[in-house]
Amino acid sequence: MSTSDPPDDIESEAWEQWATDVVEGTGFDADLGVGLARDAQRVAKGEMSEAEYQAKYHEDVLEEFGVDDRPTAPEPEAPDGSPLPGIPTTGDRKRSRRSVMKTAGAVGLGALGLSAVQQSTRTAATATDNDSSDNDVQMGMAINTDRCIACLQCMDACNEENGNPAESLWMAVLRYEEDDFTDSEEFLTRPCQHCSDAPCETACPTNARYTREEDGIVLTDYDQCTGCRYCEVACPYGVNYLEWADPGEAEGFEGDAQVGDRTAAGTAPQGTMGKCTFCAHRQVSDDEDLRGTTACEDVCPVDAIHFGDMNDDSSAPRQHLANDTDGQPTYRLLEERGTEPNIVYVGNEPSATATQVDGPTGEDEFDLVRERHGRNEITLGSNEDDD
Amino acid sequence: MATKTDGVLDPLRTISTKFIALVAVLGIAALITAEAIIHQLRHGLAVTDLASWGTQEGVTWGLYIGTFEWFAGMAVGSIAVVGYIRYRELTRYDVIARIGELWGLIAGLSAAYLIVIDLGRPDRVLNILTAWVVTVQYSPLAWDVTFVTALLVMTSTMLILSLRRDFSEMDHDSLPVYTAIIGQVLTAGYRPAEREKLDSMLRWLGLALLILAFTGGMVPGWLLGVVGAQAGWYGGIAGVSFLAGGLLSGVAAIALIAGLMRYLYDWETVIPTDVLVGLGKGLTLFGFVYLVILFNELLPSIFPMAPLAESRIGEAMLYGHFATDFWLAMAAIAIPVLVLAVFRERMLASGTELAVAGAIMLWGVFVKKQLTVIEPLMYPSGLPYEVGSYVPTLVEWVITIGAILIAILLFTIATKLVPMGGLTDTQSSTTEVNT
Repeated sequence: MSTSDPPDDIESEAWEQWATDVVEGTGFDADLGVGLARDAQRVAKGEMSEAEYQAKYHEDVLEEFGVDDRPTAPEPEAPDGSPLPGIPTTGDRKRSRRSVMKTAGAVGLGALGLSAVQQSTRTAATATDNDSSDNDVQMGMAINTDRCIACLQCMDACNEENGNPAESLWMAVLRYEEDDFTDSEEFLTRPCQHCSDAPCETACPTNARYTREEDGIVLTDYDQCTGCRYCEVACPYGVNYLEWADPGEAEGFEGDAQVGDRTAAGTAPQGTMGKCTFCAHRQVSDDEDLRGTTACEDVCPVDAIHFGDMNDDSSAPRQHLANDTDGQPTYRLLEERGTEPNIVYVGNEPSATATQVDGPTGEDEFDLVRERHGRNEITLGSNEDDD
Repeated sequence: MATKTDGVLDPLRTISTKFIALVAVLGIAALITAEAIIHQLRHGLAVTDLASWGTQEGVTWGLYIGTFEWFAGMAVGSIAVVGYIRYRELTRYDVIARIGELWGLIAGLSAAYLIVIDLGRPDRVLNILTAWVVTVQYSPLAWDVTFVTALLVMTSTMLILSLRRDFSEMDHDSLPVYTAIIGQVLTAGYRPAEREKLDSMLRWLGLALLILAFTGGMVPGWLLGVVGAQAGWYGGIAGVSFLAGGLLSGVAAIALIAGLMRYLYDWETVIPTDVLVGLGKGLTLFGFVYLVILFNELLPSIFPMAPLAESRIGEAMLYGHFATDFWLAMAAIAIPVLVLAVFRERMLASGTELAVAGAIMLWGVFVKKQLTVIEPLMYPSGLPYEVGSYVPTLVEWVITIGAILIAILLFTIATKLVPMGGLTDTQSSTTEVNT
């Protein structure tokens, strides 16, 4: 099997020979492989559209491999063009991962079927990623931790906006040090990552944790949540905060908790799970100025937080990532966990050995606290001896 | 009919002052527990020491979930014992099977009720059932609800059918009036011709219970084992480890009860020494297997090649924060295993030693279950969070210990309501001893 560079001219015999050599090594249909490769070049050159390319080989690919998993594969549809039974429709008739799973439940697919379902939903997700239709909105953030000064105003604004008790830090700025002899402090601005493959949703036994079809925001239905906290143990980011106690009269969310047909915005009622909602009440607000904004973004004095549609290259986060990273590295938090988080960070990634440190600005300056109501006061590093 | 037939009905015929005193003490404990539950319902989970892992530096699952795992394990072990005895038709172990049926049912109920206690909104527990059709596809908690329900349904069926068989052989007039009423209900429409079919049903239901124990019985282990975010839980051994711990604690609970009842009712013939020896062998085997699995679970984490998150947890368990509790728990399992292996016949001549061994091992498994649940939450990995802390509050202790005492109370009362075994024909049991 030759791995040498291919000849430039895809019509030439030398190219044909080279491509055949490569494809034959795979054991699959060589003619199909060569044809796919040649036309892929044509697509790249703009001589052929993706749809044409797709249609031309769909049958052959199905025949050869049994499935057509290519990212651009046409979305399978039921004969009448309607979604499968039991699926809540989304705007563009696309099936989301959740709705596919719901169908699977409705038809009683067994454990064996589950892996196949997940397989196909991954494909669907990939297809969605590459599709730039208007309905494919995935809200997310670009957070520049290199700019962050750990003033903690975002934390305060978040709790103010959502009426959270002082201990529920939906937005938390962690101040940490790396063990690299530089003694430099770094900050991690940590809201919910609004993952596309959110483990909290898989864990939820009541379907209370869900992804909004319209904009990909991960929310908790406060009317469904039983407070079992399985989402919290399943989340690798530690962003979930149960409301342990009655928030009392002083606290409370003044906006409209209704998001679509679910109660999911603002602070969580006692006994249910709360976490960052990307200010969902703002996203469904009648006030156009509020839509597409969050409290933490508004208040940030150094413009470190950029909220918007990650699939729209003109959105604030995409523009920031394209133009303002100042050469800083970008990353997604704990990406190796496979959660597909929708927050992209600009700056240094905390290592697994990073340790939290105290700083000049503490939660107490904003009447925020770390310790849960009724538990002992937390001082950073007080449990280090246990490590 | 000789001593044996009379002996098995002794608990029904006598109500001693000791029994009344025990029920009174347990009843008071149950009332105190109820008060603690009401207190928690009024003020929410804030009355516990649970807190979010992460910035709140707490553990979000604690004593309740650990005790749930312990009860669920005992239920699995109990139904495995019942299934084996019924399937193999080991009539000499008849009383042991009845103990297992009752305790499996009670332990399963206790596990289910502790999950409800642990909910932030217990009033919404039915949401889990209404969403089940969808969530069973992916939520381990929905699998667990499925398993516990299957366990409760199958165990009660087994209990009802085996009681029907036992009652059908008894003269109801010789029983206390309330037991006689239960007997009347359970033998409604009984015809001697159905006996053969009943025997066959018990046998195959026994096999079904065995299969349930060895398949669905791993689900409470997977409940933790599938959580990729928690280093100490995630992994392929979680289900097996839970099952082994369950078999050990189930047999230990049954051994403890059998030993105590033998002592209290002088049941030398009802629970003969060879049955005690059989239970002792079970304890030795399952204790050993559980230790081997725990060894395999923990050992890789302390090798230098282990990932950081796992090694922190392994170290905390083996020589760090949890070391004292962990090693005491291991000793509580290992020492009885050794002693039983060496001194089996001599030691098990009376039931009391077996009961003591069972109690110690149960305590060991209890402690290990608690550590398993809280440890990864206390030692978070991934983001730069701090090591957490957890000191259960009085309310948590009262509710937890209360759950155990209420389970004991229910069992104690059950021994006075239903016969602990059938009137085995003396002739056949003698033959069995001789063979």
